[in-house]
Amino acid sequence: VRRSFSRAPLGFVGPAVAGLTVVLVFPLTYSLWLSFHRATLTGELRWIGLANYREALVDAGFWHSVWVTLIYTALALVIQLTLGLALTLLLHSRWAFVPHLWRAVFLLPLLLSPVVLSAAWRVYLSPEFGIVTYLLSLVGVEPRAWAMNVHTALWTVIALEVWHRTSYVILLVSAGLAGLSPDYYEAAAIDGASGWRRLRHITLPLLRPILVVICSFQAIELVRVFTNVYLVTGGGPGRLTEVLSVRIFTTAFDGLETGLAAALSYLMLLLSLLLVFPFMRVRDEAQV
Amino acid sequence: MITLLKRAAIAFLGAVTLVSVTHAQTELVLPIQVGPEADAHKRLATQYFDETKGRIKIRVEEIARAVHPTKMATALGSKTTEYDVLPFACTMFPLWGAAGWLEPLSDYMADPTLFPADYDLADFPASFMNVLKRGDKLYGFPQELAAYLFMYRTDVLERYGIKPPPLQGWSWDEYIAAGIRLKEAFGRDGVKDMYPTAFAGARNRNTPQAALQNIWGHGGDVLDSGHRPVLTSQPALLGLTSYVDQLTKHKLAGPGVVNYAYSELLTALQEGQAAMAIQWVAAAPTLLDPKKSPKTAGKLGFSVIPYFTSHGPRGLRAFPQCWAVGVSAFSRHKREAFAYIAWFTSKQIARDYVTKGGGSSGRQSLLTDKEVLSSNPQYAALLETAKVFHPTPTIPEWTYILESILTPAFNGALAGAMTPEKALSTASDEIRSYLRKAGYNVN
Repeated sequence: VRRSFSRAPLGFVGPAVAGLTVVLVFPLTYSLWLSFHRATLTGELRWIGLANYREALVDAGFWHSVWVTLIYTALALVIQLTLGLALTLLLHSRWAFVPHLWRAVFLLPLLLSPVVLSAAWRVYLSPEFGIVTYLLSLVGVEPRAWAMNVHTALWTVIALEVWHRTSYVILLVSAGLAGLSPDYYEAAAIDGASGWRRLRHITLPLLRPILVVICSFQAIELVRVFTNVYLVTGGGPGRLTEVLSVRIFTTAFDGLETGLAAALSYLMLLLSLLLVFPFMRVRDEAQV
Repeated sequence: MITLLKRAAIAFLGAVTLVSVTHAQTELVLPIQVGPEADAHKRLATQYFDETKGRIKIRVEEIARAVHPTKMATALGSKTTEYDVLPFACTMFPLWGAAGWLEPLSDYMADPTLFPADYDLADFPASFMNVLKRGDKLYGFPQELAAYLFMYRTDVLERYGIKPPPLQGWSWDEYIAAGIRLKEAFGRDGVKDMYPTAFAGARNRNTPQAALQNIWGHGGDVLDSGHRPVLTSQPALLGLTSYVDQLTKHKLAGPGVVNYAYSELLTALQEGQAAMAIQWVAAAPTLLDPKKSPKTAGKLGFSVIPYFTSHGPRGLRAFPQCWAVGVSAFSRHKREAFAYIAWFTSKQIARDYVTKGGGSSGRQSLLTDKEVLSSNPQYAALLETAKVFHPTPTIPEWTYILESILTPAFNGALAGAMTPEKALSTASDEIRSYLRKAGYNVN
């Protein structure tokens, strides 16, 4: 029996597949291919197998940037999650004052371009002209280069990250809270459960799937942080805030070594997967 | 009748073609870093458009100073045909020349319709021209000579009874002593918005360019003649330590200098936040302009950067820099681009460039011209500085060493992330590893 074959579905999915091939599959394959070459922007292209990966893995600078990236990711993730959760619960509590207004205010940073935001914060933090310096001087804090100080540089970029993307956590947790059935809380109220017990035994367990999703997304975003760090500290002072993506950028565009930069990018991808994997497992367990 | 109509149609088409050919306009794209150099190109582009009767239009694409080399390397590495005229820093030439991104100019110079006989190539210092050559081929015309100058507020020094430095500059000890006197005086008078000095300290190429002057001033260097790193030497350590001490030991500068590159330093001077500074000559036209810089115009003096007594005022220590204009090897309009750079660097236009706010000139005759000097006092110090230029390595890898190895190391030392000793040993190891990978025998 000859089955008729309709070409119509191909017409529907074709453009999307072609688009994905151009913007995703080709760059990924090309950069993987490039990572096995000694390739430079000056035109050199020579097959060297795994030498770029070997070079990266024995380079102390690479491991330093991995360490900085992990510290940045861990601290920013914990602070964003804690702060985002706390603010959302506050906005949904009876103590919230004009919650709709505050929700909009909290969402504002998310609407701004990271480039504009980072450039603006660079000025705000200036020890000579910055508004932050001025405000702190009112409470007796001496002017200092927050973004270039050994003790504060990493915290400065983390603070900027938290300020920018905590609203993302607020947005998702709000959606999660809206989906919770009031029955649980009514039952808990009848049983005389305190606010803390309701949070611990009802809200948090029910929000667990969405919190895991937030952690996964945020971890991926944080591992590949670039704009904040590059524009505010440039990776400095010295190499103290040189996260992996900044190292990749300087390798490719200052060192012109595109092959090595491609290998570093794949190692960063691997790092992202390793970080997200535990969250995926927790999510799967939660679903089971 | 039909024949007549045919002839008329052919004549009409011919006339339309002729008109369109004679009015064909070529647009040349010129990517350049933001600043007085770009302003001058923009102003002169209009004049060139008129002089070529509208045939050649120059489009100046301004790029932030900090990212100019990166942006250009990315664009030229991908063999873009977008750019025609290429202004470039002479320190970029070893890389750009070796990569084949610039068109050799010799063939065009042999064409009298493109290269005027009265161009006067000999007006450029030979040392300057040699920087722009590979073999016997020339790849660019000098646009301007550049250097870090010692700049000081004459009114502030006078107010506190400090005698300004001679043109050859102060010794480093005199400079530090003046800074300490100013610091004490500011403290006494309650001056809180001005620091004695300012200099580049950001994680930007301006920092090693400035700090190397202290290392050279002490007799140290980055590489020896065999391209082996020698940064761990005692003179190099003394040099970097003296640079760092300005901030950490003597506290002569504000905490913000660890964020200062060219633009931030310019703003600090314009805002009157520093009595002295070590800044690029390109900043001088802006600082001398009463409209742009009312606090510094007419109150700024210039000299060569301080020297170390161990090597004296004649000791080679200044970072040699120049800007040149060349033609992109990937341009579709190479002849037109060449004609523009020959016009732009000609004697007449170069005079216009320096007298109306350009950074400086590559032409000796202009830098020593009394009329030019009367409105541009910085050129006397610039010419004096050129006498103490320290040579830089001419290998293509120098750009990476400067931008990606020395920059974080020196910025880290200044910000206290590591000691000067650690910064130099780390940089030395990284340079050795990088050069070894590039095929140099540096063991």
